[in-house]
Amino acid sequence: MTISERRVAVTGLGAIAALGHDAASLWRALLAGECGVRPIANIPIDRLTARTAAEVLGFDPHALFDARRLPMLDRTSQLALVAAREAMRQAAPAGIGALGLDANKAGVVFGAGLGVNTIDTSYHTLYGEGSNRLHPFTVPRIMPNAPASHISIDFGLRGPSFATASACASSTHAIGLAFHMIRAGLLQLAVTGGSDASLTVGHVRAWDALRVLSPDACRPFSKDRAGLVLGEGAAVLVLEEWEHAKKRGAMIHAEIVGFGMSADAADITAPDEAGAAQAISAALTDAGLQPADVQYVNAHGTGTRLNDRSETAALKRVFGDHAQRLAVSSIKSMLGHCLNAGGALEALATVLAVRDDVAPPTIGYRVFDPECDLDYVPNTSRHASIDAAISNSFAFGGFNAVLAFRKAR
Amino acid sequence: MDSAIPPLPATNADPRVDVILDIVARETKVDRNRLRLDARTDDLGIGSLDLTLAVFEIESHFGIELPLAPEPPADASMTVGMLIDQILAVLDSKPTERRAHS
Repeated sequence: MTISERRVAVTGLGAIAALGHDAASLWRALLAGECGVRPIANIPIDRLTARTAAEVLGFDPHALFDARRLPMLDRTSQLALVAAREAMRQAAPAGIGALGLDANKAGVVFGAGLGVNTIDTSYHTLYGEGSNRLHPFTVPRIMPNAPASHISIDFGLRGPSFATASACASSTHAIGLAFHMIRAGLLQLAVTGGSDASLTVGHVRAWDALRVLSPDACRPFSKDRAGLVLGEGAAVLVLEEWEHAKKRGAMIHAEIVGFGMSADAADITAPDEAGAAQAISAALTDAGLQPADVQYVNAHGTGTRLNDRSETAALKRVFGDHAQRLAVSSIKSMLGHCLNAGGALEALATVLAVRDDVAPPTIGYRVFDPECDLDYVPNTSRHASIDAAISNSFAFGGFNAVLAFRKAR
Repeated sequence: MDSAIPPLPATNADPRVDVILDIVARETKVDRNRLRLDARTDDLGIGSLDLTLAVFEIESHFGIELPLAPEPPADASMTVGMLIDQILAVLDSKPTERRAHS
């Protein structure tokens, strides 16, 4: 089978974020336009300027993980495992061994996920309390490949596995690479996505310092937008070689058909219209899609003045007149910016949009901006025939990644 | 290999040994009765991370810092008795007022 003939199915989905502890609850809440951005509850706020975030609440790791395992798991890995377990229950309910895969071709390609809670706690112990008593598992909890490794250990996945680091595009790069590796025959099945749990005082303070945080809400594409709101969560997609998935009668949510990457090679934080457009075009080309084939765009849509303007311009550059017929929405308005997990949560929403023919809304939209003049599905989700859709991630560092999905058929 | 096992420490009556063994049993989930002084950590199924965690808790309990990683000599396995010897040696070299820290 040649590379171009080999297709890739999405056969498992799992997620946890501010609006739900599983993919189905999350999807229902997104379609209902619920807002996960709330006053910060999990950490002290007295030293923070921005005091809202999209936190995962009611999460009890002791109920979910063995007491012997838990000391090894930073919250980033905990969220990753919750999402991965859900996705694997769906894709492989009788275990990975029952799928009849080549054991050396099932792997994990996951967004790098630093153990930020562990870093914060350790520094507090070391510098704040003046104690040298650091937990012996500090290093394995912090390492950015820990979420990927724990997933590999949990499910006995022994094929090529690694973590990708590209800031807010990390998990999009992970999903795209997993897709390309299956298409290239290097993997038959990949557990892919990303996880982020960095809502600590130190980390939120650092984002405060960059002066990109909104004081209250995330209002992507609305003229009165005031910046991004941080969130946390994880999302996992199980990707599988199409014929293998069909043969075993797996439920296929959608087909992943394209992946495009680019680098702005310009500013370290400011977005670049040309770089974004290049990645979108590359994804369409990779997918064999014409611009007019696409109905829905899950936008990067951070709610910053610069991103939303630049992303709109990039979409118009690639889609031309068809841009006005696209439904474009940003679920960051509801889940906040989940950083390393953002791309995966948004890819998951894009898969479900294609599967269910419905576009989630951009909530908090209030005022038309002449520089953002597309259809952003304001405030209410919309049913529409969606055969093909893309999901954009434009990261700090100028690294862009775009995925394309198509209805399973 | 039996000859490589050092003599049992003459500390059976030392209450600190019981404290150490309690912590090792708790942290490694190995039955306390199996923690004989000549038992090898390998044979007890105590992995290096479990041992590291137990040493961390022992250090916290006594307010000490063991100078080295709990590695066995190159030609022998770590035994429970060797671990206890290391800890007692550090405790005995410390002023007593530093002991109560947990």
